[in-house]
Amino acid sequence: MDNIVSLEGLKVSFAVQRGFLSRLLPGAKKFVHAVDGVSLDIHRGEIYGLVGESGSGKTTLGRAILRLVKPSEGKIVFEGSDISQLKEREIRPLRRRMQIVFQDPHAALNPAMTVGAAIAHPLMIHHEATNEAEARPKVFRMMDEVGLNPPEDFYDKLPAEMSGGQKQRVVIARAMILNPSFIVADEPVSMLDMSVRARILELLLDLKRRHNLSYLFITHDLATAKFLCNRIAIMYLGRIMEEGEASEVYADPKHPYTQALLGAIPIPDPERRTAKSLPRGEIPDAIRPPAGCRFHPRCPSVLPICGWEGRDFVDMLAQELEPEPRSIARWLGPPTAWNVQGLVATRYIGETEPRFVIGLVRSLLRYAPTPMQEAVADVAVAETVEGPYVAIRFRRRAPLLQKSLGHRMVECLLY
Amino acid sequence: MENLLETRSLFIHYRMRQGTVRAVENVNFALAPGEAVGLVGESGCGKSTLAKGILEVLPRYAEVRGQILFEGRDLASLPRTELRKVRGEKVGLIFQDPMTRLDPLMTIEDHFTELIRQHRDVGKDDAKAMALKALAAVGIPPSRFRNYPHEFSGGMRQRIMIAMALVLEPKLIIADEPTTSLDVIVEGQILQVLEELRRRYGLALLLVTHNLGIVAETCDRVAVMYAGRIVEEGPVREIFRNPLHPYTQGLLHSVIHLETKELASIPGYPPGLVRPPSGCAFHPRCPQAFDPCPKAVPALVPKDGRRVACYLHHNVVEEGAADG
Repeated sequence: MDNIVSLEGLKVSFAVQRGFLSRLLPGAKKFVHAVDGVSLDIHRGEIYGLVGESGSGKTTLGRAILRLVKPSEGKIVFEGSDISQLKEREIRPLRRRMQIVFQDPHAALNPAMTVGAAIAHPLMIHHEATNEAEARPKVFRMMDEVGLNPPEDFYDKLPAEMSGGQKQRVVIARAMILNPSFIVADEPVSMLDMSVRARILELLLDLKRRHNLSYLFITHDLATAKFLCNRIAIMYLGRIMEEGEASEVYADPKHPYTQALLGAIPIPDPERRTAKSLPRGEIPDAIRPPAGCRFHPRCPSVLPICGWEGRDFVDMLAQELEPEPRSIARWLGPPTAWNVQGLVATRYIGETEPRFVIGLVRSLLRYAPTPMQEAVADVAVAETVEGPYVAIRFRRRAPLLQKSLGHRMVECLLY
Repeated sequence: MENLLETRSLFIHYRMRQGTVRAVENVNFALAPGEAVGLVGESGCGKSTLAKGILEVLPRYAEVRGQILFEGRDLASLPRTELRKVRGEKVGLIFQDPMTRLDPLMTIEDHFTELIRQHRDVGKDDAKAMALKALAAVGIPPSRFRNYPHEFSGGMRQRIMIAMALVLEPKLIIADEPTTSLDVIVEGQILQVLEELRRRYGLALLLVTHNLGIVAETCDRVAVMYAGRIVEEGPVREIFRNPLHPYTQGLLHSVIHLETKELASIPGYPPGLVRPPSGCAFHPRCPQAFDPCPKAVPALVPKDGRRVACYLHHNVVEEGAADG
């Protein structure tokens, strides 16, 4: 298969902004791994859908492919050559081959720049035209192609004089003017009214057919991805959870996260109201993603081997619990009193009777999901020079590997 | 049953430099106790203005004419202090972005204490008990009571907004795009919370949204707005099964859902509300427009178990619409 883009173990991390003082002091910098080891291929001529919630890293992944952000590890192969380490100067000529369409057309356009100037701008940057007049015939043709016709009516307009759909057409024309082969479309219709979304999607399909384009279509909307994309990848906290042919993934979602996402979509048919079973909680902070499978603390099908660790116990102390476990949790102290190191959670217990503390821990654990209870190896009290402490030790998790099921890739220990 | 809320010939106009924006035009609309009604339409159709107009939380340059009756009393004729009472106690408000409504320098406790003690003559402890009860109902544990808004996730903040809307035990909740900025799973969670509370306390809900899927799943009735007017209104089942107004048909067809095989859209764009098209404002975009459409505004009259304003289904002209 001819790939236009191939990613191998791509990672993108950002340093977390800290306070002024802590930046002056030495010490380990904290990082967010927005994209944490993604490998995928985008075939030439296909629409590859990247679906995820906010905070999943989908936008960062899209930007990394275009080298708008720098990857920290891994390879980005674009049209056969690795561009992951290229310098900005070396990337610039490639930018005519790869373009981006942003979510918010209003923010993507300079409010003081006319439509004509905005679309002509890339031509001048890439020295294909020296001034607007020279670019004009090309700009007119492109405006006509994206449905801004007649072009002379729109050429001198400012973004403020246009509707959201028309502005998005300008953004698309600007992306298309250099005749790229690959476009990252980052939520291109989610700011638009339902009634005009279809027309923008049709325009994207139309341009793809005429120019043999390939798209990375980034969206949180599974319904749109299903309609538009050949293949889709479901992303959660920097990882691809499942990937496959769009129709197959929707017909038979394998990963519990994909199942949860699909089950949550409101159905526009009042005859088919059903009670939904939704996963608990929200997408966790990417600064400290859960160990093992990142979805495990919320997963309805979780197993004891999915990645339970000391942190999951401490998180229980802070959760919205029923009155009884809450009073037990209060005895065990605030989460800040606990120390977590990988599989083990510990805290000093002072003069308290060890058997009492162990009893409390065990009673609290009874309110944990059964797989988490089964993942606990032992609860014990030990002595150190600093005093006695209680330790909850979890069993080691099973290694999480990407599995191929036919044309499907799933990263889940159920398979 | 007596209506909880009713608007009679309601007009809301904004006087702007470029002219008068006719955001709400002659809206007659009612909501029964305990009922959930969805208010839908494209952006700029007046649905948010209508919802805000009901509570008179509009900018100063807005002009309101007509009657807004809440439990039979005309809100517009109430003195300011009475109005504030109704607004604060009988009607709860939930907006799209909780961050714009929560003060970043105040803890959740401060927010509740201020709100409750403005309306109820209760001590600090009683106020706290009321707040904790409302927070528990939306799944926020007491341990978070002293936290600041920024320490919560988007979904949690929206839960806090719901708790604040509920704490004074209102009869009606007005929710303006309450889940639009949330992801689909959290959106589902918030709607479940709302639904459960509605059932438990018999609350009525006016839900302003562009998402027809949410309306199908949560509402009893739906009102479709276009260019400031309600063009079709009735039971959700009837209207989703058999929409009569071509605009409603267009809106329903343009929803992209999991079974979408073909894309559909409504040609053109919603009109500006300073000089909306004559007659039925939808006629320039309507695939079925004919002679009478541009001539006079069609009235919203009963037909097939709902009300519809379209000459394809009747020939009643709206009375006294052409003024202002």
